Amino acid sequence: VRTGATSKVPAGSVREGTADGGRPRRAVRIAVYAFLVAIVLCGALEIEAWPLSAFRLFSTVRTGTQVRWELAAVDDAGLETPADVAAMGRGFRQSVHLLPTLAAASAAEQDQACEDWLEADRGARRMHVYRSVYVAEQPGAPSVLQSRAQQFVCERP
Amino acid sequence: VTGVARRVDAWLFADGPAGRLAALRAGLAVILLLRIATWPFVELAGAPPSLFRPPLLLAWAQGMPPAPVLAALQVAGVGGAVVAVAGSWRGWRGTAAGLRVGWFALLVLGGFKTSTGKILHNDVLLLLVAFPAVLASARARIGDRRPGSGFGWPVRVGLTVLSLVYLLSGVQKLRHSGLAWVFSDNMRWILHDAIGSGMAPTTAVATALMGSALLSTLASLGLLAFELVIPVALVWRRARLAMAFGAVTLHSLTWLTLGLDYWAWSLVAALVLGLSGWPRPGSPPARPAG
Repeated sequence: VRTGATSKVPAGSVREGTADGGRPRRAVRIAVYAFLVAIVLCGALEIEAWPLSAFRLFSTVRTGTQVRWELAAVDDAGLETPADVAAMGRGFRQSVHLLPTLAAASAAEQDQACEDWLEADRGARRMHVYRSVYVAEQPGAPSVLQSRAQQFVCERP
Repeated sequence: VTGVARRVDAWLFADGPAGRLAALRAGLAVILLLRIATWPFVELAGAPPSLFRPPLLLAWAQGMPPAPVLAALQVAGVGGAVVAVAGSWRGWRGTAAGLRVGWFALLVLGGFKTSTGKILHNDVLLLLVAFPAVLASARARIGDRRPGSGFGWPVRVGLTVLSLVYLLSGVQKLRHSGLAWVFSDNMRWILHDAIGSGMAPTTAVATALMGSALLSTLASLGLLAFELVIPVALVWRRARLAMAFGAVTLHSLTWLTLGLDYWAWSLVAALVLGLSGWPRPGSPPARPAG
């Protein structure tokens, strides 16, 4: 890195495609337009291609009925509690969002994920994955469990 | 159509002062620096391959990289951002390269962060708005008033990207929910869920909004209107500072009510709208500043 270089930048008119502030090269302009089109296309076609996104931020209307995917840990005494994925580490914190995908995945994939959760939570003997539906009568009222369907289970060998 | 395209091209690649590009680089580099330095990316290293879902950009990765690799990326990113900040003040030749290193580091680190189960948008606006500045190679220094297309387009394209992102967020709400997004209990239920999650620093604001159908409807209307109207800033320069204030207010309220960490969006919006909305400097001097 060289300092004090600004004083050597030529004054007056600027040249095409140079570092002196001239009109950018054709390749750069094509890249700019391709980038803008990609942003619009990802939105229109709902493509998630990091860092491009469909930007579906809170786009679905919320109601009093809420579907939650839940990961529950069962200890040696048979006590079932919500799995503490935050305590498992940063790499596990968002894994609850994978539950719908894992529920539809092969048994081998489910077993591998379970094995990793159990490895991270040494106090758990089994893991249960549920799809639960909670209902609240009005905003601010407590959400009540309406139904719960077990999706898959795994146990420490 | 050709006439419109020509006018769009002329607007995007119009002249701008060199100092504004330098300020954009410095501002973006500061935000990159904060995003890279303040999140414990190294802690991602324990993520198991079974729970690793990389985006397309990182599809080559077999799993989360080990901690030393994440740490090296973090150090490189911080170093690049520091060079970009200092270089923007001093007019260093390596300024653009420093910004590229910082941007690339966050692109990869953020990609790994979003590989753990949920698409995280916290860094998306920064990465997208910074892309034109990353592409730009023109040398510039803060305070330099030389005009040139090479100095002007990164700011204008960044402003366009910013507007597109907010517009798309608004359009998706209308597309998937219609006007019910505003004129239903939608916002009250969002706040209900947020209060239950316990993520916000306080429940007072969310509780107050949720308790009033009128206030929550006005909040929804204000939010959606902001997202849909922000492209006005592209053609109406005077609106830009007001839009910057609107963006900061929106994301501050999002944090207060939902506990979502969108401060980088606030800073990016304030930077780009503020820089492009600031009154034009006087006539350029005959000689370059500095």
